[in-house]
Amino acid sequence: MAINSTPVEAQIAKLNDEVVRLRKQRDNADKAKTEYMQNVAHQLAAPINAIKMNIDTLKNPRVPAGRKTVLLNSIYCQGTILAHLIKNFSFMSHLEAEHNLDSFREKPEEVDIYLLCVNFANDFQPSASFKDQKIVVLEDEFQAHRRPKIWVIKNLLSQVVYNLFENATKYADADSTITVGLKADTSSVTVKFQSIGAPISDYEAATIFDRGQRGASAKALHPAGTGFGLYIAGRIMEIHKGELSVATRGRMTEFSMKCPRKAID
Amino acid sequence: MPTILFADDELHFIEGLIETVKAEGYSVLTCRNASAAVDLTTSKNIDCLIIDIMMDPGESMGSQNAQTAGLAAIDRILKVRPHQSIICYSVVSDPAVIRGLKKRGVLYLRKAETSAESAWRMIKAKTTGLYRHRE
Repeated sequence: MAINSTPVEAQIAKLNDEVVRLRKQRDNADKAKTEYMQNVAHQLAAPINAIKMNIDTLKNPRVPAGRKTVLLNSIYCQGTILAHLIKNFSFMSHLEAEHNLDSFREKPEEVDIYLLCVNFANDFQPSASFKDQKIVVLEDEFQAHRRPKIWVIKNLLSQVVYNLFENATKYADADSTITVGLKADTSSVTVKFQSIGAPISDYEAATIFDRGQRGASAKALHPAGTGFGLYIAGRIMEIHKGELSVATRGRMTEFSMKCPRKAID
Repeated sequence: MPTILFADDELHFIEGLIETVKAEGYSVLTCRNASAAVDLTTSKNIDCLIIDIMMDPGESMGSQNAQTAGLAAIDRILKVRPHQSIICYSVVSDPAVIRGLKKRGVLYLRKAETSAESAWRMIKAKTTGLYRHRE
């Protein structure tokens, strides 16, 4: 700004600075939007392409029948995973608003949380096998509490369990075991997903359920990702008056999905 | 029996192609990060490396950006083994990246658009050297 500028000139200069600042802000937003769209496209395209490739391979007469059965199972599991991935994006708009359970078309119902975990463990096992990971649902812990039924919107809770399995199989070490256990007391039922793998710092743990957040180790291991999975899972638990939390110790991570008894019974 | 190394952090997404290559009687090795791809390709007799671009850099390449770790691995491998057969198999479709790969004799196949049959033919051609002759 010139030293002897008039008030009008000073105002113009100020406005020009503001235009520059806003343009920069717009460019950053555009860049973030492009990166996000690329991530979404990558995440959706990868399982679709895998399904296409597997179907293509089934047509090959040289592939043994036993391997074709494995591929068919893989197609089924990829399909399930893809459906939940798409649901994540559709849930985003719903969960942004201040919703409660009554806002949803579906109504709460009694859900066997053990069965839900076992079904997802089966869906994720084929992809986990490529990293020699084992998924173990600790049946004894669920049976010790007489396989508690919880009162939730099944579609929403399935998404939480899906996101936690997806997260665990993606970031757990190769040749490791992912365990799903249960703790219950008079006030709550808590399902625990424990794995060993990409470390989470204290700062990352504090912001891990924020929208779009991804830890440094997670980004290094898998560059593509939106950071929506845990945010959505956390919001769904909030809507059920429950809680999703994380505890870390070194490379060990434990996500706890807590459903209060009062919301269940 | 030719040996093919698949380097991809999401091997379950290319299961069909791996099965196709195995069914054709080729030996298959797999790894999930760029460091392992470099180690295996430079220490073993790999007839063709199939490598992704976006992947975990792994221990020895930890400083690399995961978005391009596969490209960095290709650079390192070609410094040690300039004639190594390599196919870059990725969804990254930046024309500048593809041109750069072609200049170094690396074949680029787009994950979304290549059928198992076509990918297998390219792998076979690269492994036998027929693809290079046609170039």
